[in-house]
Amino acid sequence: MKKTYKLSNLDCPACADKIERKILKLSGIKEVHLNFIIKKASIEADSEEVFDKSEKIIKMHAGDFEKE
Amino acid sequence: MNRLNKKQIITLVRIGISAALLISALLLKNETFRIGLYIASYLVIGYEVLIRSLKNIMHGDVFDENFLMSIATIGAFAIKEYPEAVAVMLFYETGEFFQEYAVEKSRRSITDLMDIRPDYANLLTDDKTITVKPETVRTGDMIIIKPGERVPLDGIVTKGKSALDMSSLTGESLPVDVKPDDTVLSGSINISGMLMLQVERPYNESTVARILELVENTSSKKAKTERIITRFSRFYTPIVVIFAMLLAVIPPLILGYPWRDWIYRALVFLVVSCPCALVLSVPLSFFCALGSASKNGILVKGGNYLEALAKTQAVVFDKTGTLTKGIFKVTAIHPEKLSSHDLLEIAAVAESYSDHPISKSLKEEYMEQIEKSRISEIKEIAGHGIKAVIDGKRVSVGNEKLMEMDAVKWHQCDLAGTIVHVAVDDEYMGHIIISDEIKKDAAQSVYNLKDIGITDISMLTGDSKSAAHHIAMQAGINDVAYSLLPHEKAEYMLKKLESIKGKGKLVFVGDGINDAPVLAGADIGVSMGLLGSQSAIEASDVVIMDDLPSKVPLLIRLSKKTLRIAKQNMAFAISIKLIVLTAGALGIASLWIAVFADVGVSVLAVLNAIRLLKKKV
Repeated sequence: MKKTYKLSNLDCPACADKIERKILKLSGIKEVHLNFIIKKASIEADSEEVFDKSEKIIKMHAGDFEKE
Repeated sequence: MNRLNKKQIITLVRIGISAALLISALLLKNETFRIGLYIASYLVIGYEVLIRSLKNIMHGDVFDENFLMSIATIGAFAIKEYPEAVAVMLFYETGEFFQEYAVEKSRRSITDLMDIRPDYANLLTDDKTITVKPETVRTGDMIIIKPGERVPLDGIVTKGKSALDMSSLTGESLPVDVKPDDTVLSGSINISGMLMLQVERPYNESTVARILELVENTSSKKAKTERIITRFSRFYTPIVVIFAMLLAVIPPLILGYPWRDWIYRALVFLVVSCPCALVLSVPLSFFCALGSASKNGILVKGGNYLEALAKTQAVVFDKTGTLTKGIFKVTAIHPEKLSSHDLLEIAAVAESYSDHPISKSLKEEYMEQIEKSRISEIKEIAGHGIKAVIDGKRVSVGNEKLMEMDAVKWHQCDLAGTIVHVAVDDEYMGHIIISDEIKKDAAQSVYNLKDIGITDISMLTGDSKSAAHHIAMQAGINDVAYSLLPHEKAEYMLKKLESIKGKGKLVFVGDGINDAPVLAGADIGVSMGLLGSQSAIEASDVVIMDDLPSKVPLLIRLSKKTLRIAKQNMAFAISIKLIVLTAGALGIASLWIAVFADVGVSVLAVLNAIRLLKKKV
């Protein structure tokens, strides 16, 4: 399963890198990529649980986001 | 000039108020008032950073940029360096503002490309047109495109004539005229007339969808330089922060130096420890370069390819469709016993059942209606040609092998191209020369490549020796491999790869038709045109949307410039930080200089990267 998110408040490349690394550490994650320029995150994982955890990490570092 | 958004305007106002408060504080004599004004100025500009750092510290994130800035400025307040505490925060926010503005600008150049997403399609049903989402239209459906509308799906014109603006796809601003039977790509804009299209493929396979996917995924493949700098910054911040703590504590405790001095030095370290200038400097160069390439009608699938392109050692071009237009035309008719017209007529009639490009070119040249009833018998011999009975006579149309087979006395031709021999009742009647035209910018492309120091340029083709040499000579390429079967092309690439091993990268440029394995065999595979097969576009690393081979030297030049700028930024950011850190440890750098080393460097790096967005590469 793959989901993409729009992170309108992602305004620092170091934060994007940090989010990416934190999500990558979750077990069950397949792929995660944050594109700082178009302010989008794409996450691939098997279970809803991983998405929930990822969303929490995003929320913590980049504030509100929209699901696409 | 970009329009500022609401958040940016608020930031500007805050910067103004804070600066005004700071200046009036500096001018004021009354001590208590002064401190009050400093604090007011600080809070106006810094409250956001303070709030954010509070949030982050609750998550245990001590190396967060906001937190570091908060500690540095609060520390400065603590040692009574009021103006500097305020100034650090003020410059930090000002720098962030410029940085965000510049990033926004480069962001826009890339997201502009994404504006090609169509919102709707006018679907033609039995009795009326309805507006639907492009995703719901199926292959074979009819759609209407009114003047001013964006073409939502790829299709073939069935009715109407118009001019199309394809600039968002190809970077070419000259409109393209279309008429019935022409192919129209989604994403282009219909300028003048109403068009009716028959949809060729569903939305998710359309040109627009493919471009959008490419653009969205471009940065997922990071360049090595990008990865190095990101990794460096992960270590950089914690190390500098640890040094800051040691600096604040050890000399005063052990050597009895004054606390105030050494805390000040530690604060300089904290300000310089922010990683964003570093993390931003390199990726942004690549982002801007990818944006600039897209503006020029070149889609590059990732920063890593740009990095590789900068090290190009050899370029191999495919012939048909890459250096040539891929459109075959009759260029000469050499009759022996008949008139030119009659010779062409026999060939065209004999080939009338075939869809081969050669047959099409014969029919096109003949122009008259062909009465198929004249043919009573027809046989196609693969790799040879066609044997038919026309008006009761035995006709052979094909290459020299076919002539040999029938023991016809044929002869060579001096002209380059594909030669079609014609015999009637085993008697030689002459031949027709069909050739492909070279693209206008083919020679220029080769010249430009040599101009930037790439001399190992070759051409490969499955075509005959004479046709190959004819084109290679016009293009200015000396190294030619001809009569290659598809697997031989791949073998040729392997050999080439071996020969330049250790010296640089191998680039292959093909038209994307049947050359997916060859594309994949090169270090960087470039395919021409979005009309190439889907598999070739997937196999290639770069797609040139407007079929121009001259985009290859342009792209290599851009890649070299990108790498140069990325390296400049990296060297600049790291060296300034190191210098300020050293000076800070020695006690000769002030917080003013430190804040420049942080945000000043970011802004300069951003401005340097933005040079890549300039129109001329």
